[in-house]
Amino acid sequence: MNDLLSIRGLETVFDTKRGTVKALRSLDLDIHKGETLALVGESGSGKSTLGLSIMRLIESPGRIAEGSIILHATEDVDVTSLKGGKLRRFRWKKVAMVFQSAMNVLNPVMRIEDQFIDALEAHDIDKSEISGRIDHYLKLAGLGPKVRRLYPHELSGGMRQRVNIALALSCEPDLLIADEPTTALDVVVQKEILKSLNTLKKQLGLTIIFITHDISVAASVADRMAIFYAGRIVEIGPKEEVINRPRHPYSKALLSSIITLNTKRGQDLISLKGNPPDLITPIEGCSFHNRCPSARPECLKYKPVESLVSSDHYVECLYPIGE
Amino acid sequence: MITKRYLITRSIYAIATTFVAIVINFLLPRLTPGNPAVTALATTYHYLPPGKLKLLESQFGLTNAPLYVQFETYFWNLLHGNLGFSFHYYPETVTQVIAQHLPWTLFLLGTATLISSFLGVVIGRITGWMSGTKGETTLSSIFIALTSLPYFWFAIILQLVLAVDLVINGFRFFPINGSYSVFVTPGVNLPFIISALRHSLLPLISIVVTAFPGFALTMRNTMVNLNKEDYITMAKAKGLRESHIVKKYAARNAVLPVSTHIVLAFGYIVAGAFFVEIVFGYQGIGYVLYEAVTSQDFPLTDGIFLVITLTVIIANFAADLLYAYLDPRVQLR
Ligand SMILES: Nc1ncnc2c1ncn2[C@@H]1O[C@H](COP(=O)(O)OP(=O)(O)OP(=O)(O)O)[C@@H](O)[C@H]1O
Ligand SMILES: [Mg+2]
Repeated sequence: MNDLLSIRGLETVFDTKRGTVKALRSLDLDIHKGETLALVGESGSGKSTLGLSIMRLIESPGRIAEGSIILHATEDVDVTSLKGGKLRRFRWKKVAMVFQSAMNVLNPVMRIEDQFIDALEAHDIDKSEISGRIDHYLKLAGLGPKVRRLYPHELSGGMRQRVNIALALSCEPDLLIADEPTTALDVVVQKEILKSLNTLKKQLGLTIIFITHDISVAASVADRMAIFYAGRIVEIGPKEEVINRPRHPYSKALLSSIITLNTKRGQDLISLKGNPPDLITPIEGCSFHNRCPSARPECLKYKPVESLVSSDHYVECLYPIGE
Repeated sequence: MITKRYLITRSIYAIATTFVAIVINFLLPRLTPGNPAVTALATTYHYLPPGKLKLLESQFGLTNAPLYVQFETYFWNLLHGNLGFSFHYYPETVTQVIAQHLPWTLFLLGTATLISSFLGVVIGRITGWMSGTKGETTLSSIFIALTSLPYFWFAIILQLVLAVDLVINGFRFFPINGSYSVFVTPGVNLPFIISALRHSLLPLISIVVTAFPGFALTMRNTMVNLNKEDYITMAKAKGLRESHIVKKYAARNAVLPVSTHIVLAFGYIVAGAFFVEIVFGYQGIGYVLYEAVTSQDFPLTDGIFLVITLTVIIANFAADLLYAYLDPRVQLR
């Protein structure tokens, strides 16, 4: 498999007054070139933390305590050790991000085009090429050149989100991390944006990490799907496999709740009782055992290890469903 | 963004405020119990010379005519720059006295406001950027101490230390008081300008040093808080240089609350400037107001209050335009 990014043993923690929150617990993940990988999981499971860790945007009180993020470029580089100019050139050029808090990521006092220009200039795009690029990517994201002269407050939520997408693509990154890019939008706009993302992906050969709560969205965009629980990936595999034959009890609960309830945000885990574990105290055994409908005494004692259940389909459970 | 509509509404607003200020300025002496002309004369005479009383009353525009007629006369006179005679500076008119002294105050106020805003923004930007370091915490503590100094107290200290005591080989670095040396002739000539600048130095420093630290602190605090803003994270994600982020993202946005602070502080700067003028015998409006009040020069105090009100209205109007220029989100609300 041709991988773009290999994450090994990644631990991102937040030092709080109560103690150290382990938001990512020794996470391993390979991202294949050209795929769309959907990250699904309930609120607080660490999805954004993973995206921000890859971008090296984890700031105090947070830090990457452990692990490596290897970018397979002409030569392999460990993103966690990038500094200064190297880090600057890595950001946006190698990996760009559409942020979850899309409404506030644009500088309120700068015109839209200036927010493209400074990024493009920072990555040494030829001056003569800049204007054409802005128009091009705005158009790809479904916007006319008129928005160039506008300020963020003059745009609707959907337009801002499109600007963010265009902005993230403008330096033609290898990897795009889209963190809930459509959550704040109504269904129609959501559909349009997903469609343009898909087109873009085909045109640009982009690799995408798509973070979402919404399994139906994940199902429509993803090639592979990863289920996040308490700072780890508990199941990952081809989308059809994971959706149709989930092997982890958590994935199953998550999927069935979505399908029966056709949810809105925040309601998606009604069928699951209890709360995810506290990430401050070390977790013994399986992190899901207290909520798991099919937990056995061993689940309390032993940490499950990742096992291959079918082609390219891994699950982290002592007793995967159907075995 | 300064749109035409914004400009028009703001102008109407300023004009309306001005009119209200004029009406209040007209009503105030007429609403105070007693006859200001009698009060004025009583301070200098033990009896009321009838001729003088009539004269004074007519100068105040006090007649038995209905208020609106009086107001018409008052307003008409005002439009012609006629505010009556000053008692203290008689035979000069109020307008003449104000015209002579206003430029000094405007110079002092304008320069002090500009310099302290500039210093506040620039220094606050630096301390905001290096916030948390030892140097920054020390500096910020000094700033907090400076903002709590009263203007006049600081002015007196400066006067004592830098003007009175600082004499080396018979050479005095800073003049003790006045607006210019008696040896120069006022006008556009180099000796006068140099002398005026030298005399304005200590008053200026007194205002600036007590005003700018407050602005710097606001700037610093805003910059520190802005660091958590999503657009700053975004700017970092874009791979921009730190210097660019500080300038175009953090500082540029921090200037907005700082400008609000400066506008709100303007009233204090005016008041501070008046005290400082009195301390240094600097012949601006504040000094004249002091004279006018102590000598019960009613027409002059009245005139000066009007001028102060107008200055503040104009400053607010300018601030509104500045806001709209700095923040594209500012529109009619
Ligand atoms: N600045 C911070 N300080 C302390 N804890 C934090 C901080 N940021 C994140 N965390 C913790 O890290 C964990 C993961 O948070 P994260 O934002 O990655 O979740 P998420 O999966 O993106 O959730 P959502 O779906 O709500 O966006 C949470 O338990 C959260 O409390
Ligand atoms: Mg998130």
